[in-house]
Amino acid sequence: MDLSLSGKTAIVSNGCSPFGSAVAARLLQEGARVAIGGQDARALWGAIAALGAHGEARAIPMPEGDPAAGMPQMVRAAVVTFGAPDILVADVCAPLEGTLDAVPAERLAQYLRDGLVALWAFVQAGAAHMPKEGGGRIIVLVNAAGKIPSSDFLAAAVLGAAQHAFVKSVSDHFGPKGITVNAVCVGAAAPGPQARSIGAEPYLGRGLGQQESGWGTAPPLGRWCTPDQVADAVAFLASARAGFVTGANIDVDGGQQRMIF
Amino acid sequence: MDLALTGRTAIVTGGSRGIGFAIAARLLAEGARVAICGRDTARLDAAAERLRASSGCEAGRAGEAVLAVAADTSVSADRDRLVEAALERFGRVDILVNNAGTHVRATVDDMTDAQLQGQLDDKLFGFLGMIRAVLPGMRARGDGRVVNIIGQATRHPHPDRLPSGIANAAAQAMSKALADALARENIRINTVCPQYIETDILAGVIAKEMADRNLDRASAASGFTRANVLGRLGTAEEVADLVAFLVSDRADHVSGSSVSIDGGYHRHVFG
Repeated sequence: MDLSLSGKTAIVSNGCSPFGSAVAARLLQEGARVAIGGQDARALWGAIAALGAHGEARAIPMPEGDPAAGMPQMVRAAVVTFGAPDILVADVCAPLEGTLDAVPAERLAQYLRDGLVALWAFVQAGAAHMPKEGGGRIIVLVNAAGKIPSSDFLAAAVLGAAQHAFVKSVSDHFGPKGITVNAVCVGAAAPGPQARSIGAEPYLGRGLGQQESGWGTAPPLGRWCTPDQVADAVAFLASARAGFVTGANIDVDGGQQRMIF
Repeated sequence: MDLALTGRTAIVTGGSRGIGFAIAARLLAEGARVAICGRDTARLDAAAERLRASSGCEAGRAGEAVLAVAADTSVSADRDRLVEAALERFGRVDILVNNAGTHVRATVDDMTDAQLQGQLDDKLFGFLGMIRAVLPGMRARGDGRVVNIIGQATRHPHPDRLPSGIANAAAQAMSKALADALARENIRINTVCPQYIETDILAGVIAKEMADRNLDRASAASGFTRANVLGRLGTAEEVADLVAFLVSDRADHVSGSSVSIDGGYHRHVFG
């Protein structure tokens, strides 16, 4: 399937994360030019070294400290490098593990700033440069905790729900401008803490037979989410093929989330 | 993006026109062999000829890559006959796209039992029966990909769309339950939820609005384009692209997902 991404320009907010790096690689393979942001200079240059084989990629170092404050500067630098972005991919923060008792309110505030305020700032700054004739694409990676509440990942669940609300509301804002906004819901990756969390609770929401068989101890597909799988969904939503999809989600979670709609 | 669909085999129900036809054409263009079914034999045969003549269908495989079977998927015997014909031609069915069915509007005051039963026969019993019919082969191979096309009357159960709203909600519940039941056998089931796509169905709804409200076509159509944030109608080809992605290897960790393709029409946060 020709995604018609050749010649498009993308900014990936965090090219140092496994998901951001995989997204950048996939977009490069499809012919896009990709600017990746990141605060960890060493990781950023390492990512660029690996991405260089796939196409035209540039590292945009961000100042240390508050990522929300650094987003506008990063976006401006990316625009200077490649021009107006056609595609924004936000991967702003990893899921925070911890119960209500374990996560101090101050830590939650910082986490929401890193995950929500930084997302807000990235989209605000990036969308301002998108082509006026429309066709822009904004994709937000949202941890599956946003749809699957877990006491062990309380802050991640709260952040994810807020990010979903952001995606839907912002899709309403940008729709008339011809810019689509969607979420890719990222499932538990092994051997991460979320994988352990799934295995730790085999009973909730399950029938007796399922409890006895350990039905709920792994994602239904029996495998864990990988960055490449997330990157494929992002590439599809970033493409011309997904022009009528906005305010929507694709769950790359192996069937883990339990909502019908 | 290589969808790795070359050599795969698919059944697309309701494939003689509209969204179903576009899905069949897309899968064919990606290298799959495709069986389509429909109730109107003449329209079905014409659709098969168009598919065989399409640019996605290489000349060398045109004859065997497209199969047309006259069948009503709300009828159990027809479903069995359709699947048997596909197995006889292709040897296996890797992909099922349940698309057959139409959109029926009625209110609590004027809906007949027959209207509701007809919608349930198409979209609940028809979809479920087709999944059951292809399931043995998918289980034996440990690989299956199913997409159910379920319109947004589910998410928006309007008072004047009772038959479709009720049947679609049932089909969504069925889809999610089966996704959970079959994921451990590597059979993925997802739903694609279109709204306001340029098809014969929508043309009929617009015509009805024109008649009921004494409107010109532009005014009647604007009721649909204004209802989504992109301000336009979608195309059957756009729906087909999403379906092709979901049944591909590129979506091999996606199951139980319900993906809207509606220009931002639906008002839900998590859908």
